[in-house]
Amino acid sequence: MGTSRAAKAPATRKWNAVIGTLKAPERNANAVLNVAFSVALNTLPSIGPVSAPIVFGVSEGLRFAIDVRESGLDSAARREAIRISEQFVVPSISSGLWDVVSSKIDPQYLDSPFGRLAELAFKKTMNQVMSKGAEALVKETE
Amino acid sequence: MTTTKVDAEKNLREFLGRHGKDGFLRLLLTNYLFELAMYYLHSDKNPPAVKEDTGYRFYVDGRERVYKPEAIERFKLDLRKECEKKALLIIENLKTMQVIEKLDADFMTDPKVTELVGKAFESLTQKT
Repeated sequence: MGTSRAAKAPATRKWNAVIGTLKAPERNANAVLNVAFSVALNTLPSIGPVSAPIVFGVSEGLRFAIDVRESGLDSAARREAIRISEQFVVPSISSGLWDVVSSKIDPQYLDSPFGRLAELAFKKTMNQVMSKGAEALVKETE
Repeated sequence: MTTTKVDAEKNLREFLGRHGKDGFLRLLLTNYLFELAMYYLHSDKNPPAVKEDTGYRFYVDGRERVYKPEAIERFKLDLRKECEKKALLIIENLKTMQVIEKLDADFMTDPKVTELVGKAFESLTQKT
C-alpha cells in the first residue's frame, strides 16, 4: 500500500520513533502525538510558518463573530465585503472570511502546507459555529 | 436542512455567549492541530532516513493486520482529544503573556506580539 500523494516524512531518523509508536501493540494517541509533533516541529527552522496562518484566522474569525454579535450579520458581512449566497449561507461566509484572512498573510505562509491546513481548519470551525451554535464545542469535545 | 442567515447569526451569538473568545480559540486551534496531526501521520517514506510510511502504519498494525474501521475512528477521536490538550496549553500561554485580549485586533502587525504568539506555539513540542 502506498501513499504517493502524501508529503514526505521529515528528513530525520528520529521520525522512525513516530513509526515505532504507531506500530506499538497498544498504540496510544498521547505518545503518538507527543513524539510526532516534537520530531516534526523541531525539524523546522522556526515555528512561524506553523503559527502565522492560523493566528490570522483566529484574529479575523473572532473579530467577525464579535461584529456579528454587536451589529448583526448583514452589517458585519458588508464591512468585510463578503457576499452571502442565499443558497449556501454558511459556506459562503466561511469562504469569504478566509479570503479576507488570506489577503493579510504573507504568501510564503499562505501557499505552504500549513496555510492549506489552516484554511481547512478555519472554514470547518466557522461552519461548525454558524450551523451548530454552542453545541459545536460540546459535540467536538465529547 | 440549510442554515439561513437568521440561524447563522443566532448560532454565532449563542456560541460566543456560552463559550466566549476562549471557546472559539479552543475549537479553531483543536481543529487546526488535528489537521496538522493527520498531515504528518499520513506522510510518505523519505529514504535514507525514513524507510516506512506513517500513512501505511496509521491503518496497519505492527503485525501487518489492518485495523478495523471502528478502531481507526476511535484512534482519531483519541488524537483529537490530545490535540485539544495542546490547544488548551497554547491558550494558557497566550493568557499568561496577556496576548489573548488582543486577538480580535490587527495584532500581527506588532513584531513583539508576533514573537509572543510564536513562543506560545512552541509548547506544541512539549509533552502533554
